[in-house]
Amino acid sequence: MTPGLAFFYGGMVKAKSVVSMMMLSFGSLGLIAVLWVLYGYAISFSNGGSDTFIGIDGWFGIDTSFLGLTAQVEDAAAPAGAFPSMAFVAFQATFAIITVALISGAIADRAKFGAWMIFAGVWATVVYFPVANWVFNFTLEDGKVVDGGWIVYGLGVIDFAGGTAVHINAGAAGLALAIVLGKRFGFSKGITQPHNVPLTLLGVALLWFGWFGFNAGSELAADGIAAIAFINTLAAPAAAMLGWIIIEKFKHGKATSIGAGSGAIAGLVAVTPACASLDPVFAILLGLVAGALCALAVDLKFSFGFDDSLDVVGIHLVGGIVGTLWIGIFGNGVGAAFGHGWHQFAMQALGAGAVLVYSFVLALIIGFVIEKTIGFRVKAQDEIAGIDTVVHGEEAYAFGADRG
Amino acid sequence: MVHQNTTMFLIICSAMVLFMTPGLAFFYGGLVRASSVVSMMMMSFGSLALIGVMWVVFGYAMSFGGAGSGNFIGIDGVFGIDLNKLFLADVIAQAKAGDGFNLAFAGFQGTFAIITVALISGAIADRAKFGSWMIFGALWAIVVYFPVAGWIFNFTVTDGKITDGGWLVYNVGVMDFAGGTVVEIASGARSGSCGW
Repeated sequence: MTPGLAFFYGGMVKAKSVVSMMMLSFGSLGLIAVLWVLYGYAISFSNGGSDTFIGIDGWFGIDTSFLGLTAQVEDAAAPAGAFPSMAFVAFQATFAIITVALISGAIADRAKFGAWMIFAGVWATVVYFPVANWVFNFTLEDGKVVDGGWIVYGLGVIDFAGGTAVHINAGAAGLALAIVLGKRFGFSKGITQPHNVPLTLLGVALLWFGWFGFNAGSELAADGIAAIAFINTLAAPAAAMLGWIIIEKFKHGKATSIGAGSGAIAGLVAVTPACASLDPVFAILLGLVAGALCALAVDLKFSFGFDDSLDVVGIHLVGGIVGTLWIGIFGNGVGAAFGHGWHQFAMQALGAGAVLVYSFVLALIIGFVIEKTIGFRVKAQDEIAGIDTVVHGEEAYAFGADRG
Repeated sequence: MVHQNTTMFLIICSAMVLFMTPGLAFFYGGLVRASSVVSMMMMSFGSLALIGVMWVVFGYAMSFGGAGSGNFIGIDGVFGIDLNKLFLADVIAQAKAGDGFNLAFAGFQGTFAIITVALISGAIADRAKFGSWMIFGALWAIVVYFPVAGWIFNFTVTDGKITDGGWLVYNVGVMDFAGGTVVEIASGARSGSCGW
């Protein structure tokens, strides 16, 4: 999915910054995979009950026996659980990688690669790794969460595959970085003209393909719940695509392919937390609502004047919030629409709000410090000339170049 | 847990088949002239959106309805709808009880419906209105694909023999493992008449 994201974002920027845009995703792939193996997993999936745990259980901590995956290597020889914990390590690594990469859409055309890599490493360490612990780290007994991170266990938030930990988290950080880096030159509605539409659609296709693994795989078994997560991952994005292009048709008179692609992504984002809790009818409704709302939300950046270049806020933050809250209304066994009251909805809102605020504040601080020290944004003349040749010494499309 | 391996196999295969429709968009997209590639690709993506939703809402209920169920309205094996299968209700219930195989199969078959409709669009490159295409796609799926899929793909096997099902697969005994008639010939014939 992360290279898919690189294509999705890469197609939407101008031709002279596509290498830079794609490198922000590939950089995350390189860096976060290494950090995850070294200490990320040890932070995200540490438990207070272990002797080797240092920190506050369910909040911040690290299990020193997980550093470099030492304990998981031992487990791989004779797995204690239903599957080797190492397989779960790898699965969750891909979540950490893409969450960081998602943020980069907010800073298109103008970020230094080195500054981005520093931001990515620090943000993953102080934001993603702990937040993944809050949301994804829990112990089940007889189908009930009996221990775990403060959001999933303390509040009882339902987030099946990462509406809060992945999408709200990345969306809030994207908003912070868009504010830190400021607007691109000539920031106006016209600037969103993508340079390569099929490249973006290729990204959508790769993301959707991968998302089946992301959502259905989060069940960690090929059972009925996995099949429900899978079917909702088919239905919701399809409906969201319709929702988005219908709004476009009314607002601008034309349905665009970028809108269809963005709609599919908005639906995938929204269904991520909810895919295991919804019957298909509510997944389709969620898709329609998320697609329509996100199509409206992407214009917020022009109203408020923050240059979230490729709509990380409009799609991931808004879509993530819609999907996370939707569980509180239409979730099986918890939703207010089925007479279970608004308790779950309130908890979902609290969990979503906590991740939003935490990620936004930390990203703002990290981004600001980087901007004030080594500088996050390239020089004005480099940005106008196009940053690919300046930052990476490459051109994506070397038409007519004399290469003897 | 029942049917774990087959459920996993179908989910993975569904992801692959769904991936074919954007693949088709690229195949067709590259064949047209540069100024109509977005339109060409949007016809496939439009099918993905529209048929994806329609399949879940009532397409599956039309293609895989059976007269034995008591909730069936129509002519068995030819044309009809199983009300108990609207919104995949029956297979969702099975999935909630722990067995995801039939739900995964419903999703798998959805990807067939999507690509069959998208295939047609190759016949009308460079000159179709998007809105008209979407209306055509929906109507064709309802009156052609969903019933035809029932003729071919909907059958009951007992001891390796087909003992009930759609009229082509059961009464005529046509062998069509993965859709030579329903997917390729149906969309090809329709494209022929569209082009003509």
